[in-house]
Amino acid sequence: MSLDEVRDEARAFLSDHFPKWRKENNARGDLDFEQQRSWQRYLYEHGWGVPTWPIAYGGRGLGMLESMVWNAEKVSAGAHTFFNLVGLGLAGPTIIARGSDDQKARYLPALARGDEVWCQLFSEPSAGSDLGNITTRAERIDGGWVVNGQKVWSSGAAESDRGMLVARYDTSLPKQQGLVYLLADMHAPGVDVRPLRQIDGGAHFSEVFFTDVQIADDDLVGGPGDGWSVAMTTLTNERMSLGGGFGTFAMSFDEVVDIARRTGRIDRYGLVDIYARRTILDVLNNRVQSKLFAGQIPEAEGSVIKLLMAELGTLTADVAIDALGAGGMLAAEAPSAQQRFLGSHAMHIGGGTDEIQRNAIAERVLGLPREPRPDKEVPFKDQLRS
Amino acid sequence: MNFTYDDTQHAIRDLARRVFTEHERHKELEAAAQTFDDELWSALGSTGLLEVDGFLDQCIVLIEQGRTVAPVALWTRYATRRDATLAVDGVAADDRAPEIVFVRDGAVFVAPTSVLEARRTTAGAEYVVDVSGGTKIAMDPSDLLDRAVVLRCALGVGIAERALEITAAYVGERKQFERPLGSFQAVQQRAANAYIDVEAMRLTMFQAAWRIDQALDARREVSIAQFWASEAGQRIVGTAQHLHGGMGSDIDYPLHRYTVAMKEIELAFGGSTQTLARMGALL
Ligand SMILES: Cc1cc2nc3c(=O)[nH]c(=O)nc-3n(C[C@H](O)[C@H](O)[C@H](O)COP(=O)(O)OP(=O)(O)OC[C@H]3O[C@@H](n4cnc5c(N)ncnc54)[C@H](O)[C@@H]3O)c2cc1C
Repeated sequence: MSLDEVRDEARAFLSDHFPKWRKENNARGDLDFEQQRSWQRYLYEHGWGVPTWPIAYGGRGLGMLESMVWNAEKVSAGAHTFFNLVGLGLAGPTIIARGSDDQKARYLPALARGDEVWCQLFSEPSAGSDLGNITTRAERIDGGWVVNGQKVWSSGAAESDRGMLVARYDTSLPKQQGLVYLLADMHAPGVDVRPLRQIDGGAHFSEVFFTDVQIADDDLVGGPGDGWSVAMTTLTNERMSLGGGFGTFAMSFDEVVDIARRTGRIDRYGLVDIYARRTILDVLNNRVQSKLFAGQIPEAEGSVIKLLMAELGTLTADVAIDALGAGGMLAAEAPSAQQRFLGSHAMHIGGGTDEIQRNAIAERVLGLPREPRPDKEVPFKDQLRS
Repeated sequence: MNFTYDDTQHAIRDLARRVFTEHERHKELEAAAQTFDDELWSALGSTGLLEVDGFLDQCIVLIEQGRTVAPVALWTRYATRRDATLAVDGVAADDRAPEIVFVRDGAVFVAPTSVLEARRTTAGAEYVVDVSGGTKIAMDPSDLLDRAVVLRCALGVGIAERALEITAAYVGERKQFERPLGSFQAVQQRAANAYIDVEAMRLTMFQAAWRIDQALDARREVSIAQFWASEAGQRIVGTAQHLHGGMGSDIDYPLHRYTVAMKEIELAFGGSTQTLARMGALL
């Protein structure tokens, strides 16, 4: 399908169905969580629930640019939500790429329909940028695993049904090798979710405690020891969905121009800068798309896009707030700009920080020597001792 | 001008630091939905800090206030030099004082706070006020606004200085990849740039404060200080937040207050682009 065809079809679909759905469901104003879920289900039933997934799993096999066109149409129709971003953008693609047939059959339909919401249980208090430092234990028992430990900053955990969990099963192996990737049931006995409050006023992330939580072998992705590499698959998808979603994360260009026009504080340089950066991101996404078509995995581009995206988010929020002047402080007058400003720092952190992305570019693209990592080959238990 | 503190200024600094530190109790106030710390205000009164009148000394006290982001509108009292609060662009920091002072049509007016319709906004301690009434008083409006700007800049210096201290301590302690974060050069260089920014904020602020104190023309210096407080201030708290990783977004940790307070400093006078435009007009 050409981009124009996608745009036409998307536009026709949304202008016809979204108002109808709103009316039937009595959904006015911003959609709440359950309304978002029901809109997701409606989209799925009409073939638009997971457009980037392969056709075999209910998707349309849309490429990145096409899906951006679709997202942009959703935004301008007011029909865009961030419903289960982690599940649809991270868990689904990971299961598609690395899961067993049984896992695909059990989880993908419920995900696509909006029945089950997922979260990402990677970070721990002592494992942030150093994800390999995970200490949550997965002990082997007959037919499965028993998990004990703590996760942190888990977005959406309080609303989630399932989680992608990385845990350590063997401390005699070096840090990145002794890990398993498990699909956890968030409603299982022993899972305790405690919401944390965030700077932008939301409570989007949580601490999650595991006490003797049992997970069956059927929910192990790959084999024991594949934990790190499956986690990398998830992170690549995360960079893609954070980076590629720029049309939706940052405030739209028109929105900022509107504010500037309204207040008369027109920072031409700032506006032009935003416009130019958006254009560059477009082109980059295009390039990623062609790589994907050629069957290559665009790893470094993911880092570049994620970095540019975070900068764009910060710049856009700054220019918008600046244009609002003293009124920018008044939440009532600028809910969107203010929230995005407060949330914009997180874009430089979540999904791998700026520094970690830059390290990846320096090492993988420029071929610079890696920083010495004495911990990498040492059995994890010896590292703990030192 | 050598901007090191003399003995009296050291004494003021020490006293202010003690009073503000002893009253650092954000969580308690937030739990009670209090946006103004009454106890601190009376402690400032009983220790004489409300009455400090040298302009440089006032700035020194405000740096100390910035360090704890204490919720009292001391700067409006210092700027107006009376028991009043100050409204800039129709927005005031509180409505506690008996009077409210504002500039209209190139003159300074005062009105009893009670007659103004003060409306709390959802942002917290800001009040939108109707500034159409009031009685004209003999005060130079540009002197009033210059003082207000520089006092806010002093607050900003304290906010920035403390945010960087908290950050340096954090990255010195926290380990990833088996070493303190602070040992990564990418982290060190960002922190070092933030330090340069803090010192630039401090110097431009004191330069403007000194000229005001000496009754010299300070328009240019005030704009420069304001620009640094706006631009560098944002860079510093941005760095502080960034170097904290996920912790920077968690409001259980104190850092977010520094970020929000710094943005308010910038916005109270119209944002850094506006400041640049004003400065351009002066050059
Ligand atoms: C809004 C938000 C949502 C999140 N959602 C999730 C989620 O759903 N699931 C999940 O598992 N995690 C989530 N995270 C966690 C996120 O992945 C981590 O915060 C991130 O990986 C950084 O880890 P950290 O917070 O421990 O920071 P740290 O790793 O402690 O980093 C602190 C600072 O040090 C720098 N630094 C670290 N290592 C290096 C180095 N080698 N060289 C140079 N600088 C370095 C970092 O760039 C950063 O500035 C979320 C975070 C945020 C902010």
